[in-house]
Amino acid sequence: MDIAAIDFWANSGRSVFHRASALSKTVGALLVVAGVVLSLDVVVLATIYLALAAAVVSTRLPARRILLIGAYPAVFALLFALSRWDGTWITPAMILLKALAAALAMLLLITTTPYPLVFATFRRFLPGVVVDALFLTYRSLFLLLDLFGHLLTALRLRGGLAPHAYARNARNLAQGLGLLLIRALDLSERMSDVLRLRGYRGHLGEARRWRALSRYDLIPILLGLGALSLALASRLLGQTLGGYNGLVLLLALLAVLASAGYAHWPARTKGSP
Amino acid sequence: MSHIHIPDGVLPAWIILAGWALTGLLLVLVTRRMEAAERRRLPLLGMVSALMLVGMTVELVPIGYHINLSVIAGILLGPALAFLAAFVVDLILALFGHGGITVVGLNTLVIGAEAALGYYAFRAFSRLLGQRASAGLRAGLATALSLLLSTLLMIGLVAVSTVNPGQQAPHAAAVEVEPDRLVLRNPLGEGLVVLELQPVEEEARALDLATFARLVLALGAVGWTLEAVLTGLIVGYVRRLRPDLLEAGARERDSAP
Repeated sequence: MDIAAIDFWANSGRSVFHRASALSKTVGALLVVAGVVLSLDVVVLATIYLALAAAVVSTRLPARRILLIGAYPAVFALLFALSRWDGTWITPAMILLKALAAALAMLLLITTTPYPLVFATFRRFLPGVVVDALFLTYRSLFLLLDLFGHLLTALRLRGGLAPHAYARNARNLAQGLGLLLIRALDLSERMSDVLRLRGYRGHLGEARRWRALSRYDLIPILLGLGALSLALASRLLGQTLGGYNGLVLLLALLAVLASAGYAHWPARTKGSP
Repeated sequence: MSHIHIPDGVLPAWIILAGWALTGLLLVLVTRRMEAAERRRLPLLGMVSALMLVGMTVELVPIGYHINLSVIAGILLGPALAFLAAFVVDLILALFGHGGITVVGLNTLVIGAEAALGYYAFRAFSRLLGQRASAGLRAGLATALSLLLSTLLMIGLVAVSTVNPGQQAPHAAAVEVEPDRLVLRNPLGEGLVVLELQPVEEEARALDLATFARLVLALGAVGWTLEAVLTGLIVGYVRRLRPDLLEAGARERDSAP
């Protein structure tokens, strides 16, 4: 998980998706997931995936890395798909595409929205303590990842993680994690004292930007509604829509190409001598 | 190791909704019962959840094996707070595309059960074995046992959802096709590009649960062993360096309502 990179992308981007509110992007992502859940048509799922890929490319973030991160669940989906092998490629393809599309929808949200805004949106439907726990976990995660990175570097430099020395590697890695656990517990005590000194009474402050609506909010909402409508249409209309699913797939492909052109055009003009 | 790495939209809606309902109910119960003393432990919960996430970034074998540290979370936080930690971890993982957002409820039940079972198993082994076994060995045994049980719970959840994704829709026949029946029609014939998936008339195919269970148990056994060994080594190391930390955790948990 490239957590630090994802956080950097969420805070540094300037795309339409970055400018849209956390609320609209969360709703958009949930609509896409609803579409993915409802869809039972491989072509529709591929179309939704391509539309999301086009959106990712249009953000001008490192699209290949994001698509690769979004492909991680495919490994596990493949295991599940294998267990449902029915002699055709349709069921495994559908399971894989569902995993890829849903993961990419969530990644589009988290790579274009700073985490305090995402969690502030969650406060509307989750208990306050849970959202505070989410904030504190995410904050702690960066501290621990940093510490763990240093620990791993130290271990490697001292030969603590050598190739094929599995038993020794496991022991050293466990000691590294043990040390991290001790540091984590010490840090949590310090954090607890800081929160108490600042008057924490079971509710952390939040940014209000999460619901500041603008014209950019239309894009994620339209993307979500489009995915859901397509999925619903394919289920309700069945064969009728089947006659046109090639067209929507083609349109999604064109959207990817258009996004790629849009994402690269300014870079080329700026870089030219 | 026993996450439900099942994508969105594969399990039937009722089991997903039941997972969310039960998780929601447990979350409400846990948060309502949390008093000032427990709220002070929120930073600890954040740190332990973050540690679980860090553990998950460590790929033990390059085929996706990672450690959960859920039993350590259970030992340090107790079953109630560990359940909250499991939800936080699963929600953050889903945001990173690591597992479906709709299965967060079910995953929380599985990981939460793993942490709670780990906590009770560690206590039981401590009572049974006492000083005859080191803290590391007791933690390792508790981890192996809780992972086995939580994996069985996960297989059970999949078993009760005996639905083939291709059979959920009223128009399911429209999507079940043989590759050689995929027809690419002349775009000019109908005016638009047409990708047609022709139906296959076959009997309903049952979920091959045995295959899934065999795969998960075979791959899981390696995972349980790795996680049990690592958890044992970590707890042993912490016990050696800072024995007060594990005892302080137990004292705070026991004094909490």
